[in-house]
Amino acid sequence: MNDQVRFTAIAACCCIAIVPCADAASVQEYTLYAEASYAASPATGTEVQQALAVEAEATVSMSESFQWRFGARASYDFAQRLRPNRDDDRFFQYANGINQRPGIGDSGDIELRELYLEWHRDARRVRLGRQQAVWSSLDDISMFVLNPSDFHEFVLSGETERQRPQWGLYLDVPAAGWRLESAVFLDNTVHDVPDPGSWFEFTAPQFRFGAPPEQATSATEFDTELPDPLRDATYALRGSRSFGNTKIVFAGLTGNEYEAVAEPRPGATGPVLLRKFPRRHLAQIAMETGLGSAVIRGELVMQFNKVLNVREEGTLSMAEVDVLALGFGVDLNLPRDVFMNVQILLDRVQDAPETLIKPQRNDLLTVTLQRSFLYDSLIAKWRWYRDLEFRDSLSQVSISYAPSDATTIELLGAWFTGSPLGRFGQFAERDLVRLTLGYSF
Amino acid sequence: MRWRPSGTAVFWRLTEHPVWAVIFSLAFIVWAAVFLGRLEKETSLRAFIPTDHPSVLAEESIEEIFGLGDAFAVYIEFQPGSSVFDTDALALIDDLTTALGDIDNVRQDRIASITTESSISGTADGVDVLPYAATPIDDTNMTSARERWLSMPPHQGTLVSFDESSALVLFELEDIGRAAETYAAVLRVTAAAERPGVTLGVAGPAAVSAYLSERIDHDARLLQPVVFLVVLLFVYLAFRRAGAMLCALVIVAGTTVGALGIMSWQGVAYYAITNALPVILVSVAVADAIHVLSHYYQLRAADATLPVRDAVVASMQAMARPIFFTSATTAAGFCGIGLASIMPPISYFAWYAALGVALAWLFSMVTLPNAMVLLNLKPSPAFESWSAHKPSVVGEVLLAVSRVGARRPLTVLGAFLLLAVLALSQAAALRFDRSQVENFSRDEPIRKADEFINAKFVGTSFLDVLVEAEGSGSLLSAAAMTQIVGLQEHMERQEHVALTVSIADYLSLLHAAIENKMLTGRELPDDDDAIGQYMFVYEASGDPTDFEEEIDASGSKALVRGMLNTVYFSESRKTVEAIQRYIDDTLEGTALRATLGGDVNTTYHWMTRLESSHFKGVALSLCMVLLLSIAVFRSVSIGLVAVVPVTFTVLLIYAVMASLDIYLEPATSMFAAISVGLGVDFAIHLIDRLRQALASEATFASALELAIPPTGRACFFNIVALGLGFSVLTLSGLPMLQRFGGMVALAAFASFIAALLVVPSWFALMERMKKRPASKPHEITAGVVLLIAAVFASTTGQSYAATPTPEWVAQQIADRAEAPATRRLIDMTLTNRRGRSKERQAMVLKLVDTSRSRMTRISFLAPSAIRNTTFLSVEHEQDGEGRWLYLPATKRVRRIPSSDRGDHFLGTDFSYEDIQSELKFDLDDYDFALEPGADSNLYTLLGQTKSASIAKELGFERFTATIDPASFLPRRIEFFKRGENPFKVVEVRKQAFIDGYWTATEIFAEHLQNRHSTLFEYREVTYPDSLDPRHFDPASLERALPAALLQSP
Repeated sequence: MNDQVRFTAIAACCCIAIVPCADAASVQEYTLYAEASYAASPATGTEVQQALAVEAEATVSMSESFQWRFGARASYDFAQRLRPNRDDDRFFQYANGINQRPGIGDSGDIELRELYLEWHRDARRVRLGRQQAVWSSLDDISMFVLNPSDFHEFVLSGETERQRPQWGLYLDVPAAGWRLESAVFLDNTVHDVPDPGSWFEFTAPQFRFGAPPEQATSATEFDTELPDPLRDATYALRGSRSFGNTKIVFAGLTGNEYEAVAEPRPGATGPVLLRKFPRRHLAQIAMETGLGSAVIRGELVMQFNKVLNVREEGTLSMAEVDVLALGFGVDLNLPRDVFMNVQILLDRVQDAPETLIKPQRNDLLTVTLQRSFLYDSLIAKWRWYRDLEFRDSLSQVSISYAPSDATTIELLGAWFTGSPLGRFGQFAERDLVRLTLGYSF
Repeated sequence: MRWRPSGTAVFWRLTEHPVWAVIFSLAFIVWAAVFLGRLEKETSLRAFIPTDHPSVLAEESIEEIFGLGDAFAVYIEFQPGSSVFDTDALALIDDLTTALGDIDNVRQDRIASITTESSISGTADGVDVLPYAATPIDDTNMTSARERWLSMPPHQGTLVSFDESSALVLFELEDIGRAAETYAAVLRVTAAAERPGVTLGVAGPAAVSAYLSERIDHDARLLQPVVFLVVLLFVYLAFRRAGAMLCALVIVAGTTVGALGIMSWQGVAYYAITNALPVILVSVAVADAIHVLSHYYQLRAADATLPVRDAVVASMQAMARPIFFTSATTAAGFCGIGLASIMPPISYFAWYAALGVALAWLFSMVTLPNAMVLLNLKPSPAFESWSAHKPSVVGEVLLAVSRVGARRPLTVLGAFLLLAVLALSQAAALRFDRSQVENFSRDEPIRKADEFINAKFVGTSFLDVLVEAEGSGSLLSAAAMTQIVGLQEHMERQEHVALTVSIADYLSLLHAAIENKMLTGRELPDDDDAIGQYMFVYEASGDPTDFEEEIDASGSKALVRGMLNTVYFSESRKTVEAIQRYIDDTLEGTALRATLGGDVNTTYHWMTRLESSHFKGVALSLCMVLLLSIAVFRSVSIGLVAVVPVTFTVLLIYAVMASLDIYLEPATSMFAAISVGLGVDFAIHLIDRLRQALASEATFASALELAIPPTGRACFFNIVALGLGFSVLTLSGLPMLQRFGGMVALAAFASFIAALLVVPSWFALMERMKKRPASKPHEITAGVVLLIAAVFASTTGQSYAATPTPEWVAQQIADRAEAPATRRLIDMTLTNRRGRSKERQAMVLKLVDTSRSRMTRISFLAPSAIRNTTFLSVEHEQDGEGRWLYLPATKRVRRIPSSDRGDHFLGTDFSYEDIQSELKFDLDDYDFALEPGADSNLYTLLGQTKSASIAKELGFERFTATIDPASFLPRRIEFFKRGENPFKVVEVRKQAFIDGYWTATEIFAEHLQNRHSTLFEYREVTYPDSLDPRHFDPASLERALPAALLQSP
């Protein structure tokens, strides 16, 4: 039924757009991008990635105000099993229907990244279809999560690349000096977390109801209660305005969680963990300002009555808590053309019960230094992630070179250090060096 | 090795054979005089430009291809209310045309008037080419002629004035060298044609040039000998001995005849400004003679028994040193002008003046003592008082004057400084300009005629454009003709261009005639074949040679002639520059090639060359005089004192010129050179003598008494002789010669008075310093150095003070009109040192809103990897700058920190400052200076950052920019960090005047160290009244620009 609703909506959009405008349709722009990457682990000397990826994007103009936007990505990794349990309904298969990501065996993914119809006039814009939106202020740290994410390589890819698109409606209109945006996602897509056996398998505590890494495979029987695309639709509203040099943002959201909580249920053969995606309510206040050669960003996100798992008397149960996340970021241009970005995220569970499985604090510091050489053809970047709770870290060093407008070569190294229980330390054996070759057509 | 004056032994030996020495000298003069007759006059405008200069080559090509030359113009004005299209009037014009054509030296095939020309009109059978003066000349034909004339735009304002009350007869000469003679014949013909109610006059470029040349020659030939006579007469009065006058005559003759004879022998032409050369040489030569003779007569007066040869040798021994010094410094001054000048007549003038100075020295050292011995000069009654070691009255007066300076040195030096500042401020009004006709007085008939023609007709100044294309008949196409019409229309939009004529005008007439249409502008056929057919039709109907002046026989070269109604360089320069830019911007890259020619273009080129070189030459000349003075006196401070009077004189000359509105042109530009040549001698004589006296005398006062009367007297008589002599030139009827005579006299007197006051003041000051141990003489020297440096700087910078100051230029750049809204496409090409290129394309929108915010949005359109990447910069006057970047991959508009202004702009070789400043220089960032550049057409602006922090922010310490004075866009900017080599250059390779705004349409930047370069080519530049401010909202960066904005306008 839900799928039928979505299909009907899409078909209606197509009819609305195509029928009157088919004659005027023209491909406004298109891009085809291919990427090959090879990664090896210095610690083990093994190949950890031999991937090919292809991305295609196109914009088809139907009229002066209507256009279709299309984007898709296909990838295949000869060295990894990205979806080792793709066909196993028991295990982490949140997606179904058209939301299910089609694949090529257990090593290939095909994903429709964008497919929406856009109407625009002046500063007004409406998008209908599969899309994503970014409303966070900080770089690669999602505090105000609007779309779910793919955590298969969660620390090695950018935010938008990680973000999963959803079907829905997006409006962008000016009103009394404000920019008002609203999004409605009629979609039950949730976070895509790595399966056991995959490269970044499902071990991170925050994705396993807060369970520590050593409990990664302790679950026995699971069941899933996916949100309903209509009933559990996500509604978000955002208003932003610049006052002089400072931009202020207010946003609110209500919708289903993308991160599961577990509720034990009796089953036929024993207890079954029912994974649920309860409703969430977020409010955001953000600001961005320039101060001399610095840009300062601040963001406060409050999630009310977030449902988290607690462990009481050896069993899982749930509790409602408020979670406050405060983030600051500073961009600076340093001498010798060095760009620096420093961000700190303070993510705290308010009045957390002692039995809370998830750590009460989820504080993170990131520092990025970047310098361009050879007229931006060569970019050297160092990024350091520091979990302030577990005191572990990840260092990424990358050098990307664009010998031509179409070609990019990137050499990336990632080093994890710290406690095996920590956010980064658990991957201490998974340092890697990766070479990526990209080409735009 | 210390230079030693010639000892007595030298002069004893030199004077052993006075007869032979004089004979040899006279033989040299005779030899040189033989060549004087071979001097070739070169009075044309083109002489001021090297023969290989493109403007000269173009002019020669135009003459050769189209048979055009400078023309005479005879006007006939009928009384008010009368018309040329009257039977009597036309008959008179016809008679006059015939009579003028009968004059010997007038080209029969190059005479034109309303009675020799024909109209083009359409008939049922085709084209009718009918003479205006169709016989019989009756009322019916007159009405027809007038109607046909009204339909012939090329003949309106050219053959007949727009109000029909006057007519012109234009003709060229067989031999332009006989122009003066022809001018006289023409005057006779016009006098014969005069009758009641009719006024006639003669002008035209050839007439003006020829008449001026003739008048200058005439007056110079008449008056220069008078100058010589007056000078020699005054020498006689000074010494009251004919022998002294003969000695001076030999030196003067040897110098002037020798220099001019050698010049002729070497095949150097006699230019108009060479008229000044003999005068200069007379002054230099007579000065040497006067000094030697003065010393001789003093000795003879002191000791009447002293044998002549002993007295001569003693005088030579005493004067050899100062004469050598003055000769060397004067020659150095002329060499400086010769080195700096790029105009052949001025260069030759300077070099042969230097040669003449050397000859004067040689004659003074060799011929003069022998002549004195030979003539056995008796004691002079003018020096009787010297027998009692008592100065003459003149000497006493001069001593009294010099004592003023000696007693109040600071007051005198301060007063000179004040005067120099005042002179400088006055000199700031000096300007470069030229008008040939202003060389005549206002009541001269030729000037009146020229002014009449320029007022009534389309003008007597021609600016030609030679249009060429490869291949026979290549111009006979609709496309080529359209381009020619475009060129004409652009020319006619320029100020002072009254009319342009080309083959396209006649083709449009033929087109209208054949198509039986009303003539509306320059309407041409679309078909290439039609153009050839029209030409054929005309040849069948009219004279086949009628278009010889417009297009060559092969159809690959055409002439567009622009007629300007101004004769002033200052007014026509903008026109020339605007048309040249149009040619560069519009015709480049097309099949057509265009070159400017005509007298206006020639004047433009040599005046701009003069503008660029004049002050450089004077400055270099003063520098060389200074260096040599320092060398000969072995003292920096004394060397400086030697040039103070002459520097003051130069400033004074400029100030007087500015006050009298005498503008700088080739002739008047010689005034400064003459001032240098004349002025330096007096100071050197006084300094040398005063130093010698100070060495022997116990007190400064006694040294002054010993030195000033004899030297001052010699200098005084020298000055008076020159002053009176040159004053004779003011009797000329030509303002040019009047100015010349007056200025040289003024320069001579000013130099002398300045030297007489400044030199004693300086020595007195130095003496005081010596007596006060606490004082430091070198501090005074430093002060003088600063003073001189300031005067030098003022002098060298004055060229621009006369026109612009650095701040003015910078302000003009800052004030360059900027559109409130701009839309343009940029094609960016980034090229690395290996020649590999990356290309980008971006749409740039810019908006300056009412709150003085400057907003720039750059949306990349290609390549695909960066498509839709958008950069936004918003500069608020109060809130500073904000920058945003939208990267499609991140789906987020990210505010980015402001970079230093010197940082690379989006990975190009341009800096943010380069782009956002629109190639302007912030007046708060720099201290500006101007310097003469290699290209006289451009300003060379130097900018030095005001502080280290600004330099750090901008990424460079200083820049040198060549600025186009028309658009005030930089043509080239060189950026320097340290040292003398630039690290980056930015060039505006193309500019265009679009919708009333000067626009750089091609900008190139290159980092010279890594040879990486970026080329911005702007296309589809439009300046809409405004742009939607919402495109400059950071939130809008996520949205692609509307198709209407992206589409070509």
